[in-house]
Amino acid sequence: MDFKQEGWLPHLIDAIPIAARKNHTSLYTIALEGWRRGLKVSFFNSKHEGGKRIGCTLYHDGNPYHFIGSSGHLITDEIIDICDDKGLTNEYLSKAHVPIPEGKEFGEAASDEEIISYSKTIDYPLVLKPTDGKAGRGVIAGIESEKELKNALNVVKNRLGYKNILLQQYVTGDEIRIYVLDGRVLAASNRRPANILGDGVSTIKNLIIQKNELRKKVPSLYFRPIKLDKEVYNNIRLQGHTMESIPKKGERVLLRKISNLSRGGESVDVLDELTEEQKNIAVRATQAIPGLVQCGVDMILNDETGSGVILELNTRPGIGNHLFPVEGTAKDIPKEIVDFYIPETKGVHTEESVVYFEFKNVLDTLKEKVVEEIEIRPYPGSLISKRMVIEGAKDVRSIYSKIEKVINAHELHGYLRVLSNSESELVLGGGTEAGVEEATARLKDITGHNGLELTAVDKYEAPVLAGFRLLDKTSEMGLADLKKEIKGIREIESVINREKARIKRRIDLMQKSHSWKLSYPIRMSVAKIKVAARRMK
Amino acid sequence: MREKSAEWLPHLSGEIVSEAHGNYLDAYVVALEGWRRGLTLKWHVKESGKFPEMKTWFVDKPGQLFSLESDDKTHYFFRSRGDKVTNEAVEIGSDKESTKELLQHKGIKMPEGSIFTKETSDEAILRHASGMSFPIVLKPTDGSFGKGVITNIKNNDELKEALEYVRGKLNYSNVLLEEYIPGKEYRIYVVGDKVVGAMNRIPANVTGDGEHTVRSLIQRKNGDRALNPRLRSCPIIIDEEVERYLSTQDLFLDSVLDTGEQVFLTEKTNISIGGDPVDAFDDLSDGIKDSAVRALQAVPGLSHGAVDLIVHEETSEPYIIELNPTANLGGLLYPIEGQARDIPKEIIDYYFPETQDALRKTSIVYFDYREVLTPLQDKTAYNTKVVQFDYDEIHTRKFIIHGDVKSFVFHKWIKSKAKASGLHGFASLKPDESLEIVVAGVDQELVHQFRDILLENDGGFNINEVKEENYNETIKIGFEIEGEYKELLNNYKTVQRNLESSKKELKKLEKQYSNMLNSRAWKLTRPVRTVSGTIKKMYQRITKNSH
Repeated sequence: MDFKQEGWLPHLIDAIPIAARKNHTSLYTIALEGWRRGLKVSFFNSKHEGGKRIGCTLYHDGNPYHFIGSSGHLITDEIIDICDDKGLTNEYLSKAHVPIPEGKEFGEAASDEEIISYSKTIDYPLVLKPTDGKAGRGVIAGIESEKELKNALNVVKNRLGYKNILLQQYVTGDEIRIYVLDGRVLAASNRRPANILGDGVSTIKNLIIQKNELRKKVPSLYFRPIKLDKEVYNNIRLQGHTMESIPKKGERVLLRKISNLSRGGESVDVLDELTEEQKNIAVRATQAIPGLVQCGVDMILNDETGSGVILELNTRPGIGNHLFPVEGTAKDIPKEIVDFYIPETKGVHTEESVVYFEFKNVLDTLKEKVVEEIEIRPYPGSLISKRMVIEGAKDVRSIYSKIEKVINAHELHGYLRVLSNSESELVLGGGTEAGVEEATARLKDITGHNGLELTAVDKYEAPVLAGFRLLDKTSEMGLADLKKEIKGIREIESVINREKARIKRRIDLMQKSHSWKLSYPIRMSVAKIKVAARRMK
Repeated sequence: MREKSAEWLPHLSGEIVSEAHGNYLDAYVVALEGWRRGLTLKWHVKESGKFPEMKTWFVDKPGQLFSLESDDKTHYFFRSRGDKVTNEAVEIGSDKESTKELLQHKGIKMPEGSIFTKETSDEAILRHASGMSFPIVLKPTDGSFGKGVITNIKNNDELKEALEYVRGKLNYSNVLLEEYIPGKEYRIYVVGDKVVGAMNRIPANVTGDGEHTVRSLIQRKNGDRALNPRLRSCPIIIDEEVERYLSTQDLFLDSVLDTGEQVFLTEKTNISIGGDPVDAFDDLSDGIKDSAVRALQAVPGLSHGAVDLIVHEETSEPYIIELNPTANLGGLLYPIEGQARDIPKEIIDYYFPETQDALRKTSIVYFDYREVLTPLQDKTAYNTKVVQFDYDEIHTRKFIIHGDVKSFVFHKWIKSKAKASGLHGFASLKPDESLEIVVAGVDQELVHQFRDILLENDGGFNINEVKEENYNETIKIGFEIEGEYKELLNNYKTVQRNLESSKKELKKLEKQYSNMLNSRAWKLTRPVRTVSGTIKKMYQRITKNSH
């Protein structure tokens, strides 16, 4: 198989609720780590960035530790301001003799002539960036000539309206993300563009479908399927394939050039491939900014020299790529972060935990801005869980309040999921096996009295959600989920429609082709013979 | 029908409390009062905060436990009862014997009576009763909602029948035999040393109009009750007991009553079985008020709560029936007749006297009760903190938009714009296909500027007209698209259907295509195509070169 989960952290497999997968994987995993250590955890609407972000607070001994994204309170607004400004970052970096691509920042007052005359002092190709651009916005890379530079300046300054820009030498090589905490390199990941790995049997189209199913298993890629668009078709064609080709076993077909996760890219752990020098540069880069204790360092590697240059310092890097790499080993960054901020809790081990908490209602409610802070129910400790099935003609929802009473009395966790009109699944987790058994016996009585049959199926080893809930298709979807779900379905549909259009074109071409037209009489007579033959039978 | 007038509190309108039913109503109105004064409001599950130490009941479902917090203190509440009422006081309140002891000590009267447990036989009770003066009352000690209460028992035979009914048929073995006090019964709410509200509970009744039968009068009355936040879940139920009671007055369900003729349907005054709450604050003499306060104060730690008493119709002396530390406030807030008394205000004044003078113009603001409880519902959360609302004034404006206003994308755009400006309010599609938008905020300028945002229309929507009006009704915080969820759900079903049909079409096309590819005719003509393809390519090359 293409994807491997072997290298993942067992306590995080299937323990990230869907609601946390879109934009909150980093925050959620840190909160989960703290929660599993027995800390009080609450989520709040942050006033940062226009009030759009959600943060969490871990409390230890009455002291609050705030996190927004993966970053704690030590990452101050001043630090963020420096790192958001590429020009300023470079000033700090070059002062500390950290290698960066050669370049210069130009303010609003700088004329195009001034910029062009500077460009003559460095080697082409060049890259032009706004100093305060986010996530690659407004970046024009691979400028090969003065003419192209003029064009790029026009686009970035006039069309996009950026005032302060940075002109740099365009360094080629693998661009990797290195996670540095407190002067230590914890993880490094490279991104691979959208791709499929041949198995010698399946067509490319089917491999993409399979790949998208696999991507759903990666929390950070759950909402990011590979979309089939012109670029993908072109790339496949350029490699001499079609959607129907069957790549050889082990043959990797790249579907895009760019490797953004949102465009179908995937993360690969490359920590072991870094040289000491490269790690050293990453650490020194973070140390160049006073107080930058945790950071996602973007570096372009130089394979020949074993060195690298720093492109960017990210103050709130996502850590999902390090937690769920499709190749290599996951690095337990949430553990390291909580260890760092609250070292008193270092001794508490959470690797065995199979309990996690729901995030959907927390997120939905905070987003509506009616509630500003939500404290999560404390970690219940390790659970012993069982799965059972309830069968019978009666709607199990009609006795839910009775079931709930038993659950409450025994302080159990889990869910009741309505599978069909006559079948439901019940998962119960409790602190002791006896507690679960007792509740099961009582529930057997209750269901029995109502003409339903409860059968204990097996031990339930997968992580259990804390609390208890009734799940059916619509109750599982809040407003935000519905929106996401609709968007998701539309995306899948557009893929299918594109495929439909493509086949239709093929069919049209065939039908218009001379030979198809020429063979019309043959086909017709064949068809007639077939019909006649059938009649004779 | 007799003219009845009731005056409710505008800041606790039926709409504001529409999500809070039964016992939840008490919690919501007190919490809302504190929240509107700028106190921090949190909703809890029973394990959170100080609640494990507080006496509470039936609190597996969230919505009855909350805390209010100012800079220097936090108070915890269960329904209408705060933590200034001690657990001991709650225990005494639920135990008649110890209440009586304390009251007698202060010279306050309770009806004479004795409790009998299931060990005592009916005969023994009858023997004991022969030493009491009739009429008497029989009550189950652990009953509720007036169930099994038999009043005005006049002799031994009636008592025997009553015992058989209550202990035998209803299976309440523990009963209380009490002296019957003739007179009006009041529920009086006391906070500290002040009576802040009083009501008289009138047994379920109807008033004739010379036209309708008792049955249809009851139905009509239930219709009215459904509009009353306190009474909506307490309709008059037509049962055997009602019929029996009517028959003692020579009436039937099909009897037509004269205009203005009031007929009682039971003797029991409980609101939950159809009784009417009627404001009686101004009826009370200072003496009665004083007795109520003294009765409450007789119990140590019972700093606020309800006192149920009967004023003897001859001696005018009050007899305390019961003390209720966790009283329903609904009847006092939504009387069928008379004036509502603002008990929540008095309770918050008592707990947070420093906020007493904060005269706010924000009493039209409230929060969605269901929304704030959602994370507590599945036991994910321990407590939720309602968005702080510490403002003296709020500005509102209504906009009516005509044009292409039905699209979901447009509604989403409006919501995001309102949120970006920090405004509260709602958008609601009107039957004439216009969209009504109400925005509210503390910054007047931002509220008015919303018109410019709509006109600027950076989403490029098809808007014809934006009209502006004043708006003085209630504001729920957050921004709601009315019917949004339903719309989305429909939307979801549609896209799912589309997806299914697209999938089917794709399969059909694929099949057609592969049939064509595999058809013998296509295979047969393959050499022709290859040759003609080669010729075409050559031709293209030639023409290209010649250019």
